[in-house]
Amino acid sequence: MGDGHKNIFKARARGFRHRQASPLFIPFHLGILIKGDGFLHRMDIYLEREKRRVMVRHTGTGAALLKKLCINPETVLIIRSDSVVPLKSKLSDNDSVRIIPVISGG
Amino acid sequence: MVRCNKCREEAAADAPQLCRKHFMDYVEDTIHNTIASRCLFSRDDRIGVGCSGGKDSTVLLSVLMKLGYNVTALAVDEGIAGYRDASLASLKEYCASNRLPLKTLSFAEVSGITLDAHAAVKKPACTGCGKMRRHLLNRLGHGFDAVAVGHNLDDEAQGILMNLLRNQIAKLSATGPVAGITEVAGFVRRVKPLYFVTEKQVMAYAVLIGLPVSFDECPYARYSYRAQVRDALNDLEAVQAGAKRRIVEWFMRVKPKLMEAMKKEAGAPISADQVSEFLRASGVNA
Ligand code: SF4
Repeated sequence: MGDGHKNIFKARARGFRHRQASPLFIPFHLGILIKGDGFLHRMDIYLEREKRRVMVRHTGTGAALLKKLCINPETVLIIRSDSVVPLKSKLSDNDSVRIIPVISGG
Repeated sequence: MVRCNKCREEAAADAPQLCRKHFMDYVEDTIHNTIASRCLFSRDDRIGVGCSGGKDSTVLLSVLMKLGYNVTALAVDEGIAGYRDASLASLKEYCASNRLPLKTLSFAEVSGITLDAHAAVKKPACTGCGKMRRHLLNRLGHGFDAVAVGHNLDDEAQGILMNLLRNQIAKLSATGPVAGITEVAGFVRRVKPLYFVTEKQVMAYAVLIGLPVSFDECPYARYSYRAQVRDALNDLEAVQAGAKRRIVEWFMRVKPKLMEAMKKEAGAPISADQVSEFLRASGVNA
């Protein structure tokens, strides 16, 4: 068993829902850093459920990105250029991705 | 680069890790096998597909069309301002562009009140809504050999757990790829071809074929017991991958025995006088 669940439970213990948690806690000033300045690249992430954009420093797998954002991978898909990014795929700061909820409707 | 388990092309989905072509084949084969192995319907049957404009029902409609079944879209308009009108508009557009017949019926047409009016009096709204929806879908389904609904594996795992937690064994035994325990006159067969496809796979398929997917959720959904069970199951799945599938597999093993035991208690799947019940719960004298 991996350590992913600990993250989720820690997020729960901190009193917020892991699906929406972390992006709210990414300092806003990081979001206004200019992409492509060669020094402080940030991955451009659009959170479809929250309808907001965040910029995060990340080089690693899709699964690691979701872990960083405290999002349960079971509840979302990562989309890059209209294709699904498998959780084991590598992402880097130059990427621009959307995180879409798989739960919809009613 | 993560590669497809079958052809070594770039993978376009995980669980299973496959390229676009093989993932689409996998989803379509799973649906086809469910239809064939559970005898849901045949190519000669007329199938009504319960549609909401959401990803599950639209994927179901699209796959059944691709597999060559004779389908008609059936839609129930509950009357949820700002939500259902938008999803039904996209369904109408989809049906028009694919030359698919579409039949609709609304809560207001049948009972005189919308779900919004019902929800103002009765919370959570889902109990009344679900029963009325099934009732109206059954009405729309008259004349069809079966009504197919877009319930996926996640929905079913949630339903199984909800019935277990409420000790509703008769209801539990009535779920499955074919709803109901016995055939009841006046009720059209309700079947679930997406029974073994997960919610995530359905969404990935929708993205891969470029379906216009809405990410909106019903405004009443978060108050429902189902939403709590769904979140708990997703947490469990993060700890124990495959938990949802195993719940459904366990249920499929015990279902024949449960059905046998519950046959005597089985009645009509929905009350014959559902509209009056809905009106009473909404505070209107029927
Ligand atoms: S979430 Fe509840 S109220 Fe909304 S459409 Fe579904 S059953 Fe009806």
